[in-house]
Amino acid sequence: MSNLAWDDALWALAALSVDPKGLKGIWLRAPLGPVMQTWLHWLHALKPDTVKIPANIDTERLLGGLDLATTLQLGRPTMLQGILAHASGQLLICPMAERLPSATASILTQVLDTGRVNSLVGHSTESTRFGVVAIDESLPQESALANGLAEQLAMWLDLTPVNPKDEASDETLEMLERVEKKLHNHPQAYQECIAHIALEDSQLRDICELAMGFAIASLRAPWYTARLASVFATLRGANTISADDLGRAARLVLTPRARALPASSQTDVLADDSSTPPPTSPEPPLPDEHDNAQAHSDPAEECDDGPHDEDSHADREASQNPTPPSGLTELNEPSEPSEPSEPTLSEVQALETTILESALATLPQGLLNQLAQGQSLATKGNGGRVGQVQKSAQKGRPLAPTKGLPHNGQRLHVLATLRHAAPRQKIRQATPAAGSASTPPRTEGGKRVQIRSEDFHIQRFAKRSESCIIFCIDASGSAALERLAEAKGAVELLLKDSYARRDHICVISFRDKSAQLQLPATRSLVRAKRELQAMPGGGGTPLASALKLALETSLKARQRGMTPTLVMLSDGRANVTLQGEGSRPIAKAQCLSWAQQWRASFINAIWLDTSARPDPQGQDIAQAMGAHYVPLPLAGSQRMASTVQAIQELQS
Amino acid sequence: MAIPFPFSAIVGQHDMKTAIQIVAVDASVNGILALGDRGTGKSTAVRALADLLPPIKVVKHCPYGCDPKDPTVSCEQCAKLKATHSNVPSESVSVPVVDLPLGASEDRVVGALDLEKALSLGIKSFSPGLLAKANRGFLYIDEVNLLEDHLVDLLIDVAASGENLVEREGLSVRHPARFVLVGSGNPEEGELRPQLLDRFGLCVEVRTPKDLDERILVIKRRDAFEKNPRQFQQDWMAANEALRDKILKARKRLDKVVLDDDFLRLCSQLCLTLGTDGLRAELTLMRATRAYAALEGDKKVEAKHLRVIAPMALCHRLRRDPLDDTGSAARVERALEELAI
Repeated sequence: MSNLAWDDALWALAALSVDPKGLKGIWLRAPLGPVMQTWLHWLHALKPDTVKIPANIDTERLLGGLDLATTLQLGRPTMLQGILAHASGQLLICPMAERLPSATASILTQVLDTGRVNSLVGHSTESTRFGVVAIDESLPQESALANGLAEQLAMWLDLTPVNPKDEASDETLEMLERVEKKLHNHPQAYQECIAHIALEDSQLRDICELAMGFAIASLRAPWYTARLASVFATLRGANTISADDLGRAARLVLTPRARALPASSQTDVLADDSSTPPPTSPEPPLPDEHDNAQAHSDPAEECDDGPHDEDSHADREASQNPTPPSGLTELNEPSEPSEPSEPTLSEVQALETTILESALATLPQGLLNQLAQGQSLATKGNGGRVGQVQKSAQKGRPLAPTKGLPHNGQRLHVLATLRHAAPRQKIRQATPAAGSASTPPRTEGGKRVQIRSEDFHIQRFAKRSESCIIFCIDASGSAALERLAEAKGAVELLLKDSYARRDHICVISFRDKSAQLQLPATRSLVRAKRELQAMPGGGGTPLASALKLALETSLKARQRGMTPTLVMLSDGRANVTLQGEGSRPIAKAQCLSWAQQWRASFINAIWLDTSARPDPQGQDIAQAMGAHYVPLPLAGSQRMASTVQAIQELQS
Repeated sequence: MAIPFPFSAIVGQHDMKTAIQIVAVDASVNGILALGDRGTGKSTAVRALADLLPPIKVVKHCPYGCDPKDPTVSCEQCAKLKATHSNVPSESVSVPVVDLPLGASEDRVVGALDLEKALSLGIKSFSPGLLAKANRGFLYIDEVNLLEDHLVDLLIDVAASGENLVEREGLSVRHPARFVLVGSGNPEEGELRPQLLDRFGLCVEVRTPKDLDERILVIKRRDAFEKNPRQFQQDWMAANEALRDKILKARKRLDKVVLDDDFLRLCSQLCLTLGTDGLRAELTLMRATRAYAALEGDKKVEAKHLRVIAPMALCHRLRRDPLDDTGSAARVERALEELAI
């Protein structure tokens, strides 16, 4: 059976092979598997000259610089051309792009943006324009590709919903074969055609309106949509852009970046709450597993909505509001299944609706609802990797020098290098280095000290990692209302303190059916305060769900190189299960099992029991977690705050 | 060489463009901080500067781009050269606009021991970094709020002193590094320390255009540019030249613009009302309004200039209770109204 998403993936691939310079690349979210393999196989068929860059590539190799080993061997400077300058006009493939260190990601971003690369040594500048295939294998709860880099890439595509059994439509396969042949014969043929396709004003207006409706701030997105639509038209061999081209381009560029649904369209799109596909989708319903997989990842995606999301606070406020904001009111009206071509609509509007509908065609209902509630679709991340705690090569407390080549901004420890080379001089003067073309030139003063690459020592520094305090606040009915106010007060006091120390703050609250990430790790105090004020109270105590979310959040913080500490404010009377059902014994069992998982993670935790009469339940769970348990009946905000500070100091 | 997007073809972004012109006229205004979403044209505006501003004369082969005419500021080599030669060989280059990547190491920024020469020739010499390259031009840092603190401190220090002092690895080098610091970022992604905010002369907020037609125009121009950059550059040549003339004329006129005591009193009153720390706010207000008046072709600085400049010169300097979130723009507006400016 065929699948619209898979078709899109193949069209995206063809577009990228034809126009890597204009589109700059694709952010491909997909686990390694048969689907990914097939996709890469096709890419290789269309564009055989791809360059693969590993996540641990060093700056010298990327930008070009001095080749130390050869320089030493030959006794004269030897330069290395950087991959980025070399790859002009080609495609760079980055597997595990979410693990790119931030330095590498920002270099890629800058070169993509400016189209220029400066060599590390000397002042040479080269023009280079290439496309990037960023393969992001991150799980929903992990941090994804760096935001800045993702912004540069035109297409964002999620391959997770595609089933290996899905087949491409005949039209797509035919197109791929045609493109393969043509690219093989005239690699530049398409470039010229693309420049000659003009977008009609009405089409441009539709794209801009759609982008505005989706609340996309960046103006790159609508431009990329226009460019991609022109590329699709060329791929079809046509001279004008059709509505299909526009729809497909919008699906690949605009929809994944969407932050909201256009107000006018909500009745149309959300007419039916079942999982039937939107009316205009020409394809049969998407496979069910796909829907489930997406629905499963929803909450995680929400929590993945990292601190770097510009509008997310507004979004979250909107989602907390019991009544939807004005733009979304149509949602609640009894919706009638209106046809796309309503007679009252003008022609332009009709076209716009068609594009919108086709833009949303591959989106499952779960995600549509998420959009309608004002949550952004894109999982945003900060692309970090484990080990950043010690990564700082340039600052911090100095450690003993270690053997190694000074790459990636690490500094050569001159003294240690000389010390290593000194005792070996006699032997080296007698036997010239193997493979050297000539004996090294001698300086006028006499013999030169012979240094070989094995002598190099580098300077190392130890850096204290940033801390991230995760507040997990019980906002249930059992934690009575004034206790909640005190807890908020304590958090604010701690926030003020952490602001001075530049810690990151993260707030999770739990009540009713499940726990929610109120505030992803941030340093923005203004935002933290706003989120706290808007926090509602009342309902059951889904403690297990809170522990699960807290653990996920902590692990993510650790992945980004921070040291997380959990501060749990609760009475420990769990009565809602992970599934959102009321059952004390099951809820307690689940709590204990997550508490044990917590213990296995070795992350510091502090449990402040806020109940008026401290209860053994909270103590049990705290013990299972390995947390500091502090009963604080009748404690004010100030005392809570000072307790947490005291324990933190004790632990560090 | 990639052709930059012409400055005059940038749609909207009035504040940002004004601020850039002001620092182009008077570099002592000390930098711009542009805050806003990604993809709204901040980088485009900054990178367009090299093409907009007139080329400068530099001493030939000088890694720091020293001015052959200026006897006061130059690196050690150029100082010697200038002392012995009356006519220093020079060449014309475009104003440097240096992009500082987020992950840049300290070595790359300040410069370091030249390993190449140290290893192959056994000579101790200095390999200049990005600061040397940015001398007499602009240093642009995208996402300045995500830059590591120690680098930011270093940059601010150099920007303020106009000189880069390197004391490490047995090197002792001092070279001029006078540049205009331009930072951009999104405050929601991480805040800047108040000390740092204060160092930027002007702070502008760059928003995505809310008007559909304006957005369409942006996309249209971008499309035309991508399809044929050379033609697009030609089309905007006249507009760019007019703007360049305006800046050059303003530079000449700058010293003649009158700043009277009444106006300075007004500036001080405004700063007092808002309770800004230190005198940097007044100094910036004075310089920026003067440059703005010169750009407008006015002979005297007046309250109307202050009205335009005050928000961008003061918003980021207001002392802020981290837990109070009244907009600072609103506070400046209120103060302006109170003083009937």
